[in-house]
Amino acid sequence: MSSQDEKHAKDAVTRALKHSGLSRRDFLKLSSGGALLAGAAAGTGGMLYPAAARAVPTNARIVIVGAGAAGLSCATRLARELDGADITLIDRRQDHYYQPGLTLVGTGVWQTEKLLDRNRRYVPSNVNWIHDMVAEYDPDNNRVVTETGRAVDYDFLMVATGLQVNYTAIDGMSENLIGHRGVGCVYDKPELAERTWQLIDQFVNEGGVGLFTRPRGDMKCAGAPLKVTMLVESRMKERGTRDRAEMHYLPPGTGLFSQPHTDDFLRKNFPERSIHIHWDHPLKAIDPERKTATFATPLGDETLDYDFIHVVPPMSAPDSLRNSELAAREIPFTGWLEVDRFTLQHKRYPNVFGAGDINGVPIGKTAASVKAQVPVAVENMIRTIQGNQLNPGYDGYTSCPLITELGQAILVEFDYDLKMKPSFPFISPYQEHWVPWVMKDRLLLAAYRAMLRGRI
Amino acid sequence: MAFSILGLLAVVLEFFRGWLWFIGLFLLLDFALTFYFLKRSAGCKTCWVLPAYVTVGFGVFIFVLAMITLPTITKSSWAALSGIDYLALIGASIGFGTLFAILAFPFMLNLLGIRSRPRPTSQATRTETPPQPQTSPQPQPAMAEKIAD
Ligand SMILES: Cc1cc2nc3c(=O)[nH]c(=O)nc-3n(C[C@H](O)[C@H](O)[C@H](O)COP(=O)(O)OP(=O)(O)OC[C@H]3O[C@@H](n4cnc5c(N)ncnc54)[C@H](O)[C@@H]3O)c2cc1C
Repeated sequence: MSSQDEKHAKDAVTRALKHSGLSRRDFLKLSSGGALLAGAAAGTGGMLYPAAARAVPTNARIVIVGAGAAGLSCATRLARELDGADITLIDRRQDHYYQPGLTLVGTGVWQTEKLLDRNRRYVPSNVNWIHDMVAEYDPDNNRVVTETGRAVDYDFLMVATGLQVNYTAIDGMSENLIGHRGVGCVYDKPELAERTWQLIDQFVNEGGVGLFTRPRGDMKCAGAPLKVTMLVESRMKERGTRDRAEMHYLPPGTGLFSQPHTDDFLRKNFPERSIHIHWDHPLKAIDPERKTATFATPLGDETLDYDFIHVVPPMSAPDSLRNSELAAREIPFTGWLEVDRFTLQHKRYPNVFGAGDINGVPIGKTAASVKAQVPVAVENMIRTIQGNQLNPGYDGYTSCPLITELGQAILVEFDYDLKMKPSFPFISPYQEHWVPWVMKDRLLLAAYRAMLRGRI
Repeated sequence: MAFSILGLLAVVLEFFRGWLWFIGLFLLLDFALTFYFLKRSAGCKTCWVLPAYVTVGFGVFIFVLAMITLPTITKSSWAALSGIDYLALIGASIGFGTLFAILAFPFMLNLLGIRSRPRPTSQATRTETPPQPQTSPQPQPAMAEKIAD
């Protein structure tokens, strides 16, 4: 700025001040106050987005498949941590719902509205969102093809499709049955969890025979079938109707929970509450007309009558991924995304990464795992872009606030070695407490949303 | 899983997101009340002790109320509490008590913080000055010019 320009500017400011009736001194005071406020605001923003200042410049084309917990969290992080990248998110679903709350809706603790959200609120403005589903993966040509036939090329791919619930794997079972003829299931949409609550409410009042199942194989939140069972029992005690019901828990194998201490706790706790455990009872078929369920036991099929049954169908990777080159071909992760368990990079396609339920890793599929996986998957994708060495940072962290009664829970957190990893060492992972219940009921939804925004 | 301070802040922000407008409004009201008090109290005899006592009393009341009701509000019961839960309950109740006390202080200041009003000096001057005898008004310059016209 020349001295002439400076003089013009000063004159203009003085004229404007005169016009508005402010003295130069007042103006300086006001502007320094404003600067302080703006500085504070920018400072706070900077604190919450520390990585933005370190954004890595790149023109890489990145495709994220799936806008669930993991996909959105990856999108917000990548959008912030990369500068100039061309990021595309693919998912047809516009509604977002908080799945860990389904158990609470299904047992009448929460109203359905509390779960509902919109993906739009979380998708960053610099991310292209294609409202479609990926039908085909072509990793040899770095391309995915959507159901409407659109081919999308990428340099780097993040797979975050979650999993699919296979109702048809149980003879006679379908999604339409949920909420009718005593059949409940909290593993799908919020409206189905709500219908499940209507049945449970009736069962809690009237009693009868209650069957609580769990499928074979990998599933999301293996704690949820246990929580539903214990919450139903707790509701009956609350209403004084416990003696009207016979309760049976039917796991497919000889364990209740993968973490040994928690498993021990449950093995003692269920019999104390007169919840009968039937080992090796995977659900095979259901006859809603006769209200019977058939289990494939090692001794042959066994059919039981029920008044209420909580069906948890087997789960798998979505068909489009299961049938693709990206799927693992060997046991125990056949069909799931074949990633290295520590770096979350694909074992055969180094430009492909995975986050969330889709990953073929030996640990529970939970939103808590998503929280721990996403930063590692994102960091390793960025390191690959930069040509740096990967960080084997994912230790298998997962967590389950195991609700044992209305108002009580155990905060179970562990890793690949099944060792307890408490986030808050003062909360015992071996005992029932009120604090983890409050966390589950009041705080974890906020933590989930902060995760979707890439802040935790 | 370690939570950083910023991570916890982000969670707190999400927790209050739906209420931020209300909290903002309340804080603004508090600031306005504080400034109003400072303006009103210029030249007055003020008392900070009484509002402070009443505010602390109010905070203690909220603390006790929280202690009693928090388990039920969270769909639990006193019977479900053990060990660390009591500490958490006390901590949370202290937090609520402190928060409500801070929010209530400006109200208390305005209600109880001003002891005496300043003597309105302009009025005093008027009453002390003896009334001037009525004389015929002198024409103002503009008026004079008008008459001259
Ligand atoms: C009843 C229940 C209780 C639970 N309780 C807990 C709990 O207490 N604690 C906990 O931590 N976790 C819990 N979870 C698990 C947690 O919700 C999931 O682990 C988490 O949501 C997984 O996130 P994700 O992104 O991998 O999958 P999702 O959140 O399921 O998202 C997957 C997304 O991918 C999209 N998609 C799928 N296929 C395609 C395709 N071909 N193309 C494009 N998009 C596609 C889907 O539309 C979806 O939007 C629970 C889950 C359930 C069902």
